[in-house]
Amino acid sequence: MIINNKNSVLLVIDMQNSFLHPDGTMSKLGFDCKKLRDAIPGTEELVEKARSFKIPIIFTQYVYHPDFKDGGWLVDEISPELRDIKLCVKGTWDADNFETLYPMKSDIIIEKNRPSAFISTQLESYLNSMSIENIFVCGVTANMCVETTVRDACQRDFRVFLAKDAIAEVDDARMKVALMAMEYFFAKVLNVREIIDIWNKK
Amino acid sequence: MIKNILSDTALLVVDMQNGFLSEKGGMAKLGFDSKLLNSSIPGCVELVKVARKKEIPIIFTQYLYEEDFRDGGIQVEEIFPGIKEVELCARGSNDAMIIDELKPENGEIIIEKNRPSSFYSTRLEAYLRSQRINNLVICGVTTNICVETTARDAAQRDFGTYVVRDAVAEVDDFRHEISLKALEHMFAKIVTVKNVTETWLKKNS
Repeated sequence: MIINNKNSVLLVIDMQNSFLHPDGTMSKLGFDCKKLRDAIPGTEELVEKARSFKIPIIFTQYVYHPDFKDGGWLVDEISPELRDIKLCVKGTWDADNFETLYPMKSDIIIEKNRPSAFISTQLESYLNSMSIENIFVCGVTANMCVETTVRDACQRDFRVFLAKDAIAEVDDARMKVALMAMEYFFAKVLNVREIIDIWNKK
Repeated sequence: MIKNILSDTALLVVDMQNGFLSEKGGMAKLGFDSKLLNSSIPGCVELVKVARKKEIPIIFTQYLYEEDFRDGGIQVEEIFPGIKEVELCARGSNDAMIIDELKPENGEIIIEKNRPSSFYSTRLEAYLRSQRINNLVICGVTTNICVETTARDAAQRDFGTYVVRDAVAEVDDFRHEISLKALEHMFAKIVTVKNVTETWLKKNS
Protein backbone atom coordinates (compact mmCIF):
# COMPACT_ATOMS: atom_id res chain seq x y z
CA MET A 1 0.00 0.00 0.00
CA ILE A 2 1.61 3.21 -1.16
CA ILE A 3 0.41 6.43 0.41
CA ASN A 4 1.98 9.70 -0.59
CA ASN A 5 0.89 13.26 -1.19
CA LYS A 6 0.60 12.57 -4.92
CA ASN A 7 -1.92 9.75 -4.70
CA SER A 8 -3.95 10.94 -1.71
CA VAL A 9 -6.64 13.54 -1.11
CA LEU A 10 -8.48 14.87 1.90
CA LEU A 11 -12.22 14.89 1.19
CA VAL A 12 -14.13 17.31 3.43
CA ILE A 13 -17.85 16.61 3.19
CA ASP A 14 -20.54 19.28 3.53
CA MET A 15 -18.96 21.41 6.30
CA GLN A 16 -21.48 24.14 5.56
CA ASN A 17 -23.33 26.73 7.65
CA SER A 18 -26.56 24.86 7.07
CA PHE A 19 -25.37 21.89 9.08
CA LEU A 20 -22.95 23.50 11.54
CA HIS A 21 -24.09 27.03 12.37
CA PRO A 22 -26.85 27.61 14.97
CA ASP A 23 -28.54 29.90 12.43
CA GLY A 24 -28.32 27.25 9.68
CA THR A 25 -31.37 25.59 8.20
CA MET A 26 -30.81 22.15 9.74
CA SER A 27 -31.49 23.65 13.19
CA LYS A 28 -34.89 24.77 11.93
CA LEU A 29 -35.74 21.11 11.46
CA GLY A 30 -35.01 20.52 15.12
CA PHE A 31 -31.66 18.85 14.50
CA ASP A 32 -29.00 19.52 17.08
CA CYS A 33 -26.21 21.26 15.19
CA LYS A 34 -24.13 21.16 18.40
CA LYS A 35 -23.68 17.44 17.78
CA LEU A 36 -22.51 18.05 14.23
CA ARG A 37 -20.03 20.65 15.44
CA ASP A 38 -18.12 17.76 17.03
CA ALA A 39 -16.66 17.22 13.56
CA ILE A 40 -15.16 20.73 13.38
CA PRO A 41 -11.92 20.50 15.45
CA GLY A 42 -10.80 17.24 13.82
CA THR A 43 -11.63 18.52 10.36
CA GLU A 44 -9.78 21.79 11.01
CA GLU A 45 -6.72 19.83 12.10
CA LEU A 46 -6.82 17.54 9.05
CA VAL A 47 -7.20 20.52 6.70
CA GLU A 48 -4.30 22.36 8.31
CA LYS A 49 -2.04 19.30 8.20
CA ALA A 50 -3.06 18.37 4.65
CA ARG A 51 -2.03 21.88 3.58
CA SER A 52 1.35 21.54 5.28
CA PHE A 53 1.91 18.10 3.68
CA LYS A 54 0.70 19.43 0.30
CA ILE A 55 -2.08 16.84 0.12
CA PRO A 56 -4.83 18.13 -2.18
CA ILE A 57 -8.08 19.06 -0.45
CA ILE A 58 -11.52 18.59 -1.95
CA PHE A 59 -14.51 20.26 -0.29
CA THR A 60 -17.98 19.05 -1.18
CA GLN A 61 -20.95 21.38 -0.91
CA TYR A 62 -24.54 20.24 -0.76
CA VAL A 63 -26.33 22.75 -3.03
CA TYR A 64 -29.90 22.88 -4.35
CA HIS A 65 -31.36 25.08 -7.05
CA PRO A 66 -33.52 27.88 -5.47
CA ASP A 67 -36.76 26.22 -6.58
CA PHE A 68 -35.52 22.69 -5.72
CA LYS A 69 -36.33 21.35 -9.17
CA ASP A 70 -33.17 19.26 -8.80
CA GLY A 71 -34.35 17.71 -5.52
CA GLY A 72 -35.90 14.60 -7.05
CA TRP A 73 -37.29 11.67 -5.07
CA LEU A 74 -35.36 12.63 -1.93
CA VAL A 75 -36.91 16.09 -1.66
CA ASP A 76 -40.27 15.53 -3.38
CA GLU A 77 -41.21 12.31 -1.63
CA ILE A 78 -38.96 11.56 1.33
CA SER A 79 -38.00 14.92 2.90
CA PRO A 80 -40.19 17.74 1.51
CA GLU A 81 -39.21 19.77 4.58
CA LEU A 82 -35.80 20.36 2.97
CA ARG A 83 -37.61 22.55 0.46
CA ASP A 84 -39.71 24.24 3.15
CA ILE A 85 -36.62 25.32 5.10
CA LYS A 86 -34.69 26.08 1.88
CA LEU A 87 -31.73 23.87 2.79
CA CYS A 88 -28.43 24.82 1.14
CA VAL A 89 -29.79 26.95 -1.68
CA LYS A 90 -27.13 27.85 -4.20
CA GLY A 91 -25.55 31.24 -3.56
CA THR A 92 -26.90 31.65 -0.01
CA TRP A 93 -25.00 31.96 3.25
CA ASP A 94 -26.60 28.64 4.30
CA ALA A 95 -24.82 26.77 1.50
CA ASP A 96 -21.49 28.44 2.16
CA ASN A 97 -18.66 26.67 3.96
CA PHE A 98 -18.38 27.18 7.71
CA GLU A 99 -16.08 30.13 8.40
CA THR A 100 -13.14 28.17 9.83
CA LEU A 101 -13.26 25.68 6.96
CA TYR A 102 -13.28 27.99 4.01
CA PRO A 103 -11.69 26.59 0.84
CA MET A 104 -8.59 28.30 -0.50
CA LYS A 105 -8.10 29.09 -4.15
CA SER A 106 -5.97 26.00 -4.68
CA ASP A 107 -8.61 23.65 -3.22
CA ILE A 108 -11.23 21.85 -5.26
CA ILE A 109 -14.92 22.43 -4.61
CA ILE A 110 -17.43 19.81 -5.72
CA GLU A 111 -21.07 20.85 -5.73
CA LYS A 112 -23.58 18.03 -5.34
CA ASN A 113 -27.34 17.69 -4.95
CA ARG A 114 -27.41 14.11 -3.73
CA PRO A 115 -25.87 12.57 -0.57
CA SER A 116 -23.11 10.83 -2.51
CA ALA A 117 -20.33 13.11 -3.73
CA PHE A 118 -19.96 10.73 -6.71
CA ILE A 119 -23.45 10.92 -8.20
CA SER A 120 -23.71 13.42 -11.07
CA THR A 121 -20.57 15.30 -10.02
CA GLN A 122 -17.04 15.78 -11.35
CA LEU A 123 -15.46 14.14 -8.33
CA GLU A 124 -14.51 10.86 -10.00
CA SER A 125 -12.91 12.53 -13.02
CA TYR A 126 -10.85 14.75 -10.71
CA LEU A 127 -9.71 11.74 -8.68
CA ASN A 128 -8.82 9.72 -11.75
CA SER A 129 -7.01 12.51 -13.55
CA MET A 130 -5.01 13.19 -10.40
CA SER A 131 -4.21 9.43 -10.10
CA ILE A 132 -5.65 9.34 -6.61
CA GLU A 133 -5.71 5.98 -4.81
CA ASN A 134 -6.29 7.04 -1.22
CA ILE A 135 -9.13 9.19 0.08
CA PHE A 136 -9.09 10.51 3.64
CA VAL A 137 -12.65 11.40 4.61
CA CYS A 138 -14.11 13.76 7.22
CA GLY A 139 -17.25 15.89 7.51
CA VAL A 140 -20.99 15.57 8.05
CA THR A 141 -23.30 13.84 8.43
CA ALA A 142 -21.77 10.47 9.23
CA ASN A 143 -24.75 8.28 8.35
CA MET A 144 -25.96 10.27 5.33
CA CYS A 145 -23.58 12.13 3.04
CA VAL A 146 -20.36 10.76 4.55
CA GLU A 147 -21.48 7.12 4.51
CA THR A 148 -23.10 7.29 1.06
CA THR A 149 -19.90 8.83 -0.34
CA VAL A 150 -17.68 6.30 1.43
CA ARG A 151 -19.73 3.37 0.11
CA ASP A 152 -19.38 4.77 -3.40
CA ALA A 153 -15.65 5.49 -3.11
CA CYS A 154 -14.78 2.02 -1.87
CA GLN A 155 -16.87 0.27 -4.52
CA ARG A 156 -14.87 2.24 -7.10
CA ASP A 157 -11.70 0.84 -5.52
CA PHE A 158 -10.44 3.96 -3.88
CA ARG A 159 -8.84 3.13 -0.53
CA VAL A 160 -10.90 5.00 2.06
CA PHE A 161 -9.56 6.16 5.42
CA LEU A 162 -12.35 7.50 7.61
CA ALA A 163 -11.50 9.94 10.42
CA LYS A 164 -13.93 8.78 13.09
CA ASP A 165 -13.35 11.82 15.31
CA ALA A 166 -13.79 14.25 12.44
CA ILE A 167 -17.27 13.10 11.43
CA ALA A 168 -20.56 13.58 13.30
CA GLU A 169 -24.23 12.67 13.21
CA VAL A 170 -27.33 14.04 14.94
CA ASP A 171 -28.43 10.60 16.14
CA ASP A 172 -26.15 8.41 18.28
CA ALA A 173 -27.52 5.04 17.13
CA ARG A 174 -27.17 6.00 13.49
CA MET A 175 -23.62 7.24 14.19
CA LYS A 176 -22.75 3.90 15.76
CA VAL A 177 -24.16 1.79 12.93
CA ALA A 178 -22.63 4.06 10.30
CA LEU A 179 -19.19 3.38 11.78
CA MET A 180 -19.91 -0.36 12.05
CA ALA A 181 -21.11 -0.64 8.46
CA MET A 182 -18.25 1.39 7.01
CA GLU A 183 -15.63 -0.51 8.99
CA TYR A 184 -17.24 -3.82 8.10
CA PHE A 185 -17.06 -3.42 4.34
CA PHE A 186 -16.11 0.02 3.08
CA ALA A 187 -13.31 1.81 4.91
CA LYS A 188 -10.39 1.73 7.26
CA VAL A 189 -11.61 3.60 10.33
CA LEU A 190 -8.94 5.65 12.12
CA ASN A 191 -8.75 8.75 14.29
CA VAL A 192 -7.24 12.10 13.32
CA ARG A 193 -4.03 11.35 15.21
CA GLU A 194 -3.50 8.06 13.34
CA ILE A 195 -4.14 9.72 9.98
CA ILE A 196 -1.62 12.47 10.70
CA ASP A 197 0.88 9.77 11.72
CA ILE A 198 0.38 8.10 8.33
CA TRP A 199 0.96 11.43 6.59
CA ASN A 200 4.05 12.04 8.73
CA LYS A 201 5.59 8.69 7.80
CA LYS A 202 4.93 8.77 4.09
CA MET B 1 -48.64 6.04 0.40
CA ILE B 2 -47.57 3.31 -2.00
CA LYS B 3 -50.00 3.90 -4.85
CA ASN B 4 -46.95 4.63 -7.03
CA ILE B 5 -46.02 0.96 -7.14
CA LEU B 6 -49.14 0.06 -9.14
CA SER B 7 -47.47 0.93 -12.44
CA ASP B 8 -43.96 1.23 -13.93
CA THR B 9 -42.62 -0.78 -11.00
CA ALA B 10 -40.27 -3.72 -10.70
CA LEU B 11 -39.53 -6.08 -7.82
CA LEU B 12 -35.79 -6.21 -7.09
CA VAL B 13 -34.70 -9.34 -5.22
CA VAL B 14 -31.20 -8.72 -3.87
CA ASP B 15 -28.64 -11.52 -3.43
CA MET B 16 -30.94 -14.34 -2.28
CA GLN B 17 -28.16 -16.87 -2.82
CA ASN B 18 -26.89 -19.99 -1.09
CA GLY B 19 -23.74 -18.08 -0.10
CA PHE B 20 -25.81 -15.94 2.26
CA LEU B 21 -28.72 -18.19 3.17
CA SER B 22 -27.46 -21.77 3.32
CA GLU B 23 -26.03 -23.08 6.57
CA LYS B 24 -23.17 -24.46 4.48
CA GLY B 25 -22.73 -21.18 2.55
CA GLY B 26 -19.82 -18.77 2.52
CA MET B 27 -21.33 -16.42 5.09
CA ALA B 28 -21.86 -19.28 7.57
CA LYS B 29 -18.23 -20.31 7.04
CA LEU B 30 -17.27 -16.76 8.00
CA GLY B 31 -19.06 -17.29 11.31
CA PHE B 32 -22.27 -15.39 10.54
CA ASP B 33 -25.65 -16.78 11.52
CA SER B 34 -27.33 -17.62 8.22
CA LYS B 35 -30.53 -18.45 10.13
CA LEU B 36 -31.02 -14.75 10.85
CA LEU B 37 -30.85 -14.05 7.12
CA ASN B 38 -33.38 -16.83 6.45
CA SER B 39 -36.10 -14.68 8.01
CA SER B 40 -36.22 -12.81 4.69
CA ILE B 41 -37.17 -15.89 2.65
CA PRO B 42 -40.96 -16.14 3.27
CA GLY B 43 -41.46 -12.45 2.49
CA CYS B 44 -39.39 -12.65 -0.69
CA VAL B 45 -41.27 -15.80 -1.79
CA GLU B 46 -44.62 -14.07 -1.26
CA LEU B 47 -43.56 -10.92 -3.14
CA VAL B 48 -42.25 -12.98 -6.07
CA LYS B 49 -45.46 -15.04 -6.15
CA VAL B 50 -47.73 -11.97 -6.28
CA ALA B 51 -45.45 -10.13 -8.73
CA ARG B 52 -45.62 -13.12 -11.10
CA LYS B 53 -49.39 -13.30 -10.78
CA LYS B 54 -49.80 -9.59 -11.52
CA GLU B 55 -47.11 -9.56 -14.25
CA ILE B 56 -44.87 -7.12 -12.42
CA PRO B 57 -41.30 -7.42 -13.73
CA ILE B 58 -38.94 -9.25 -11.39
CA ILE B 59 -35.20 -8.61 -11.31
CA PHE B 60 -32.86 -10.83 -9.32
CA THR B 61 -29.37 -9.69 -8.41
CA GLN B 62 -26.60 -12.19 -7.98
CA TYR B 63 -23.39 -11.36 -6.08
CA LEU B 64 -20.66 -13.07 -8.11
CA TYR B 65 -16.88 -12.98 -8.01
CA GLU B 66 -14.55 -14.53 -10.57
CA GLU B 67 -13.11 -17.84 -9.36
CA ASP B 68 -9.75 -16.25 -8.56
CA PHE B 69 -11.40 -13.13 -7.04
CA ARG B 70 -9.34 -10.81 -9.23
CA ASP B 71 -12.42 -8.59 -9.49
CA GLY B 72 -12.73 -8.25 -5.71
CA GLY B 73 -10.83 -4.98 -5.47
CA ILE B 74 -10.17 -3.15 -2.22
CA GLN B 75 -13.14 -4.77 -0.48
CA VAL B 76 -11.81 -8.30 -0.92
CA GLU B 77 -8.08 -7.57 -0.99
CA GLU B 78 -7.87 -5.24 1.97
CA ILE B 79 -11.09 -4.91 3.93
CA PHE B 80 -12.54 -8.42 4.05
CA PRO B 81 -10.03 -11.03 2.76
CA GLY B 82 -12.14 -13.74 4.44
CA ILE B 83 -14.44 -13.55 1.42
CA LYS B 84 -11.71 -14.97 -0.77
CA GLU B 85 -10.70 -17.59 1.80
CA VAL B 86 -14.23 -19.04 1.99
CA GLU B 87 -14.75 -18.46 -1.74
CA LEU B 88 -17.99 -16.56 -1.18
CA CYS B 89 -20.21 -16.57 -4.27
CA ALA B 90 -17.51 -17.65 -6.72
CA ARG B 91 -18.76 -17.89 -10.28
CA GLY B 92 -20.05 -21.35 -11.13
CA SER B 93 -20.27 -22.53 -7.52
CA ASN B 94 -23.34 -23.70 -5.62
CA ASP B 95 -22.63 -20.83 -3.23
CA ALA B 96 -23.42 -18.31 -5.97
CA MET B 97 -26.73 -19.92 -6.98
CA ILE B 98 -30.03 -18.25 -6.14
CA ILE B 99 -31.86 -20.36 -3.55
CA ASP B 100 -34.28 -23.02 -4.81
CA GLU B 101 -37.31 -21.28 -3.29
CA LEU B 102 -36.72 -18.24 -5.51
CA LYS B 103 -35.50 -19.78 -8.76
CA PRO B 104 -35.82 -17.19 -11.52
CA GLU B 105 -38.24 -18.18 -14.28
CA ASN B 106 -37.95 -17.59 -18.01
CA GLY B 107 -38.03 -13.92 -18.87
CA GLU B 108 -36.97 -12.73 -15.43
CA ILE B 109 -33.83 -10.67 -15.38
CA ILE B 110 -30.70 -11.63 -13.48
CA ILE B 111 -28.19 -8.85 -12.81
CA GLU B 112 -24.71 -10.04 -11.88
CA LYS B 113 -22.75 -7.73 -9.63
CA ASN B 114 -19.45 -7.81 -7.76
CA ARG B 115 -20.04 -4.81 -5.50
CA PRO B 116 -22.71 -4.17 -2.85
CA SER B 117 -24.67 -1.75 -5.02
CA SER B 118 -26.80 -3.36 -7.72
CA PHE B 119 -26.27 -0.18 -9.76
CA TYR B 120 -22.49 0.14 -9.78
CA SER B 121 -20.86 -1.39 -12.90
CA THR B 122 -23.97 -3.36 -13.81
CA ARG B 123 -26.60 -3.13 -16.53
CA LEU B 124 -29.43 -2.56 -14.04
CA GLU B 125 -29.94 1.17 -14.68
CA ALA B 126 -29.94 0.81 -18.46
CA TYR B 127 -32.50 -1.96 -18.13
CA LEU B 128 -34.77 0.08 -15.85
CA ARG B 129 -34.56 3.22 -18.01
CA SER B 130 -35.22 1.34 -21.24
CA GLN B 131 -38.24 -0.39 -19.73
CA ARG B 132 -39.46 2.94 -18.28
CA ILE B 133 -39.47 1.45 -14.82
CA ASN B 134 -39.59 4.28 -12.27
CA ASN B 135 -40.23 2.49 -9.00
CA LEU B 136 -38.40 -0.33 -7.25
CA VAL B 137 -39.71 -2.55 -4.50
CA ILE B 138 -36.59 -3.97 -2.87
CA CYS B 139 -36.26 -7.17 -0.84
CA GLY B 140 -33.37 -9.55 -0.07
CA VAL B 141 -30.14 -9.56 1.91
CA THR B 142 -28.32 -8.14 3.69
CA THR B 143 -30.23 -5.09 4.95
CA ASN B 144 -27.25 -2.96 6.00
CA ILE B 145 -24.90 -3.83 3.15
CA CYS B 146 -26.20 -4.78 -0.31
CA VAL B 147 -29.84 -3.81 0.22
CA GLU B 148 -28.95 -0.45 1.78
CA THR B 149 -26.23 0.40 -0.75
CA THR B 150 -28.64 -0.46 -3.57
CA ALA B 151 -31.52 1.52 -2.04
CA ARG B 152 -29.30 4.57 -1.50
CA ASP B 153 -28.27 4.36 -5.16
CA ALA B 154 -31.82 3.87 -6.44
CA ALA B 155 -33.16 6.84 -4.50
CA GLN B 156 -30.34 9.14 -5.59
CA ARG B 157 -31.10 8.18 -9.21
CA ASP B 158 -34.70 9.23 -8.54
CA PHE B 159 -36.35 5.85 -8.67
CA GLY B 160 -39.25 5.59 -6.25
CA THR B 161 -37.57 3.39 -3.66
CA TYR B 162 -39.55 1.04 -1.41
CA VAL B 163 -37.76 -1.30 1.00
CA VAL B 164 -39.81 -4.18 2.39
CA ARG B 165 -39.10 -4.41 6.12
CA ASP B 166 -40.17 -8.05 6.57
CA ALA B 167 -38.51 -9.29 3.39
CA VAL B 168 -34.99 -8.06 4.17
CA ALA B 169 -32.63 -9.37 6.84
CA GLU B 170 -29.27 -8.77 8.47
CA VAL B 171 -26.92 -10.86 10.63
CA ASP B 172 -27.19 -8.28 13.41
CA ASP B 173 -30.61 -7.09 14.64
CA PHE B 174 -29.34 -3.67 15.75
CA ARG B 175 -27.75 -2.98 12.36
CA HIS B 176 -30.97 -4.17 10.69
CA GLU B 177 -33.19 -1.74 12.61
CA ILE B 178 -30.89 1.28 12.33
CA SER B 179 -30.27 0.58 8.65
CA LEU B 180 -34.02 0.80 7.99
CA LYS B 181 -34.10 4.00 10.04
CA ALA B 182 -31.30 5.51 7.95
CA LEU B 183 -33.04 4.53 4.71
CA GLU B 184 -36.33 5.97 5.94
CA HIS B 185 -34.58 9.19 6.96
CA MET B 186 -33.51 10.15 3.48
CA PHE B 187 -33.81 7.45 0.83
CA ALA B 188 -36.75 5.09 0.93
CA LYS B 189 -40.28 4.38 2.04
CA ILE B 190 -40.26 1.43 4.38
CA VAL B 191 -43.19 -0.88 3.70
CA THR B 192 -44.34 -4.40 4.59
CA VAL B 193 -44.99 -7.46 2.44
CA LYS B 194 -48.69 -6.99 3.17
CA ASN B 195 -48.67 -3.30 2.10
CA VAL B 196 -47.09 -4.29 -1.22
CA THR B 197 -49.08 -7.44 -2.03
CA GLU B 198 -52.43 -5.85 -1.11
CA THR B 199 -51.63 -2.94 -3.42
CA TRP B 200 -50.53 -5.22 -6.24
CA LEU B 201 -53.51 -7.55 -5.91
CA LYS B 202 -55.81 -4.58 -6.50
CA LYS B 203 -54.08 -3.97 -9.79
CA ASN B 204 -55.96 -4.71 -13.02
CA SER B 205 -53.63 -6.72 -15.20
